[in-house]
Amino acid sequence: MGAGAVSVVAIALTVGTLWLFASLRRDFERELQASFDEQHSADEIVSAVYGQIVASYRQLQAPSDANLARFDSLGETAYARVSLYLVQSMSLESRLQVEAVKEMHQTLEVQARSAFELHRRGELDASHARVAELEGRATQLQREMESFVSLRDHERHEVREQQVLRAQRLLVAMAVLVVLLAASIVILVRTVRRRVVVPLRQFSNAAARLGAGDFTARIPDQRTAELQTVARRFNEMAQRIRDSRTLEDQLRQAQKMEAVGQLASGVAHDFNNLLTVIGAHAEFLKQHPMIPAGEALDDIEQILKSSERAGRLTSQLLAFSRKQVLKVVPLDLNVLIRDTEPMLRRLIGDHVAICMLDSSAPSVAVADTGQMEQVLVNLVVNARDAMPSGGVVTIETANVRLKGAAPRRGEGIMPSGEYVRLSVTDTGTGIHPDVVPRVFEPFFTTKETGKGTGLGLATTYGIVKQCGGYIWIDSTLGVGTTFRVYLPRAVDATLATPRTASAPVEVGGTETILVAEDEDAIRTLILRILERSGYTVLTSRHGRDALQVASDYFGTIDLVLTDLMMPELGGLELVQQLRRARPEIAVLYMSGYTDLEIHRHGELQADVGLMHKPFTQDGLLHHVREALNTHEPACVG
Amino acid sequence: MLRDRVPRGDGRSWRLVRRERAALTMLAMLAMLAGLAACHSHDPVRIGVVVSGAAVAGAQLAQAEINASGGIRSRALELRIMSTGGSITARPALASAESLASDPRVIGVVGHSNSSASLSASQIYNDHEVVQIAPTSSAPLLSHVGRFTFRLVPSDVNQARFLADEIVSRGALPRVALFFVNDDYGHALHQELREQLRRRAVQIVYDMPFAEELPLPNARGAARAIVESAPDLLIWLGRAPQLLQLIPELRKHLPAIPILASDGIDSEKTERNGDGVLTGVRYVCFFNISSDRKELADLRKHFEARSTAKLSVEAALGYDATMILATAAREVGPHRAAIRDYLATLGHSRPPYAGASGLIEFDASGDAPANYCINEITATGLRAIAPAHAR
Repeated sequence: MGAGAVSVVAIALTVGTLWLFASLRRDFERELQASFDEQHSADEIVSAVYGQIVASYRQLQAPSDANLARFDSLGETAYARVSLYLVQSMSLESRLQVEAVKEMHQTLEVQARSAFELHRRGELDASHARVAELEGRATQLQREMESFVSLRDHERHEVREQQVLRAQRLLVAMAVLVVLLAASIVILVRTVRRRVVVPLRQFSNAAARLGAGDFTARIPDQRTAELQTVARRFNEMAQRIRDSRTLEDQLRQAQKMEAVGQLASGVAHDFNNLLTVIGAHAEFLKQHPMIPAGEALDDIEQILKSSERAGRLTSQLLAFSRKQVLKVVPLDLNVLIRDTEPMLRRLIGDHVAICMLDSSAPSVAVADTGQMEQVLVNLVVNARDAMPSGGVVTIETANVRLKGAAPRRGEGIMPSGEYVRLSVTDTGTGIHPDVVPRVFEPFFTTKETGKGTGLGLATTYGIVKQCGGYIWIDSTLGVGTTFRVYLPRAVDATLATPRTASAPVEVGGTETILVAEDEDAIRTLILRILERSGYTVLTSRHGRDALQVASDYFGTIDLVLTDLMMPELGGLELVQQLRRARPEIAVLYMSGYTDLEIHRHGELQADVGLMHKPFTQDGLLHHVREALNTHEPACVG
Repeated sequence: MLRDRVPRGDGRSWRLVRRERAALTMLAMLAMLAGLAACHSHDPVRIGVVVSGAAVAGAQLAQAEINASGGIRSRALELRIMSTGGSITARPALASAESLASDPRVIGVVGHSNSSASLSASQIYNDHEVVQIAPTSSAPLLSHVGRFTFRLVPSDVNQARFLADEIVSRGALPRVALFFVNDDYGHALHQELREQLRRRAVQIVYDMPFAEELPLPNARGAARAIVESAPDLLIWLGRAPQLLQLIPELRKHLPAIPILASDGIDSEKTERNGDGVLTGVRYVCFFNISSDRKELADLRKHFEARSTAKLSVEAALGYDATMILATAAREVGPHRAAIRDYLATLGHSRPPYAGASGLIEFDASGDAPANYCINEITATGLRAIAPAHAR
């Protein structure tokens, strides 16, 4: 029953109850009035008959037209009252009784008039005898009338009893109706509340929340199809707004990170070149025989140390800006964690415990080994710093399969697929929700001045993203924080051989090396270092120049040492063209940064090496020697 | 049920078998109902008759004609004739009325002859919603007893006016002696007439009631009293037996006194006037029984072919009452309420019924329109004369 039907029932019950009350009252009043009327009529009949008897005596004593008229008038009254019964419903017994009264009265009147006539003619004895008969008839009539009234009273009593019974039934019926009415009203109110008020409130609240910027506001399922449609449309609209806002946030964040990355990478590139020159020349100074031991040598050491620190800084900036050259390989994170554990324990100190929960199955991700070490270190150090009073850092790995895209607030949508999850959980102070969106920004830190560079989590973020992964944060104030890193899982891949400490390589040689470097200072520096170590060096300013130099040189060129990013012709294209003429040539790339994911797509062949800028004199010689010896790629962290 | 899905030995499912059985049961029940209805449809249609002997004869003739012409919707007409029809008091009629009204096969009642009986019984008929057609009851109170009561004669309110007009139309205002029967008929008519005469300044020199069930206690004394009051006219509001007692005594002293009677003396016996006592008496009649109107002539022919008695007003009205009820049942079916509605529309949305007594229609009170005539009783029979005030 709908709300409309309930209303109709309620109204019908109300009208029915009122009608029953009115009917009951009307019946009682009618019966009461009828009882009074009948008793009054009966009294009038008896009174009129006795009045006729009295009039009869008077007529006999002193005949007069007035007295006769009174006799007739009383007779009319009695007859009129008796006649009233003729048109009323009554029992057969009562009707017979009233007929008897009527006939008796009619006879009485005839006898009285006969007595008057006898008296008028002087037949006094007969007249008086007739009047005496009249008295007897009047008494009999009264008895008949009383009998009739008694009968009627009895009938009325029965009727009243029936009416009382009916009234009782009506009262019960009314009580039932009232209960039904009350129940109907309750149902109506509840129905209206459930179907109208509550949905309207839900709609209003959801609209208010949506207006206030809470895009998670939703309207629950509704009972009626119409409301359900409205709710569904509202929820779809809210979801579209939320998705739109999420995309906007993601775009804004990406643009911001991209801008910061561009700035950082640009600075880092130039810095790397400068640092390379600074570091190399500081080493030259340090090795110069004219430099005496003592204060001057210490100064040179300070220059070298600062240069190294600056190099690490630029390396982090590059990592954040995802402009590092990565060497992504199938990597079992469980192995990585186990290998890194001793170093991690040293990093976090004694007041923090480490709990390792690696999955029983290999958690093989596609990632750069060195960079993932960096990620792990950064996250653990961050956890340590969040627990100044001590606590537990839990490192966990797991293989997960994501079915359907999994959206995360502020993190975009992670597509379905196979992932390896690395979780680092601390029991620290937690991160305030307002801060969470900014933790991956470079140079953003909540630590005291001097206790953090603000690049740790930014670097982590950059590495993970550059590896094609995702990083999420779950943090509760006072409970702790969990960083979850999702990396693409490597399926049926050959695991990378763990790095082992390479055997000492003897540096220097007599081979011929073609150097392609657009930065004059770097090129001059490389020429100086290599020539001092016995190599024959051919220099060029860019790739096209290098091709020309190689073309002009008829001897064997054992190695080409080239920057990846150069004007005119880059390092990759140079090697590609150079190898057509000299396929046996060894290759060693140099790079301050790269926009290319050269290794992910196999563009950097296995027999080529890579050397990051800034490099030291020893580093350069080491990489050159190694490239010449093995033609194996090398990666310097 | 699982059993429904299990086929029987003959390949039919139990569900199918149950449906067949249910259909057969329903067919059997329908057949029984049809049979009952058919039996019921052959039951005769009943009309109750509670009137005096002459009217009963008229009703029986109507019954014979109805059944001879196919009955009522192929059902025979049966008369349930009650022996109390000739009663002059109400009490014996009540039991008859109760019996007739309680009989569900009775579609209507023709009765009663006497106003007292008709009045008293009318409530029983109205309580049971069965149509009552009173052929000759003229008491004014009968106009108010209920919607199921009809009569073929007008109310005595009209007869009183007719009588008063007839009295004063004689020229000089006469001195009037009144004799009236002190029952529902005479009492009411007497009251109305007194009022009408008072309005016309007619002097009532003698006014005496008598009881219907008793002979005049002293006819000679009554005649002497009338003579002493020196009336110009005797008005008789009653039936014939007491008048037959009074007239011989009265004629001794006032041999030429005109006597004008109400309709109450109209009977076969009056018309026969065997001893000539009533010769010269004029009385009010509802229609002229000697008329040669086709319907009345046909009735007379049929009636007298079946009976040794002559057709009387009572017999004709009994015939008409029965015919109207039967015709109504033929038209609208043998249902009490429908017959009542049919009668109420006669002369309104339906044409009046062409009865032997004239065109019959009813006003809102169930009364017939006021049409009176005057008959003079002669030594050889009745003589219709035009009312004096209409001449």
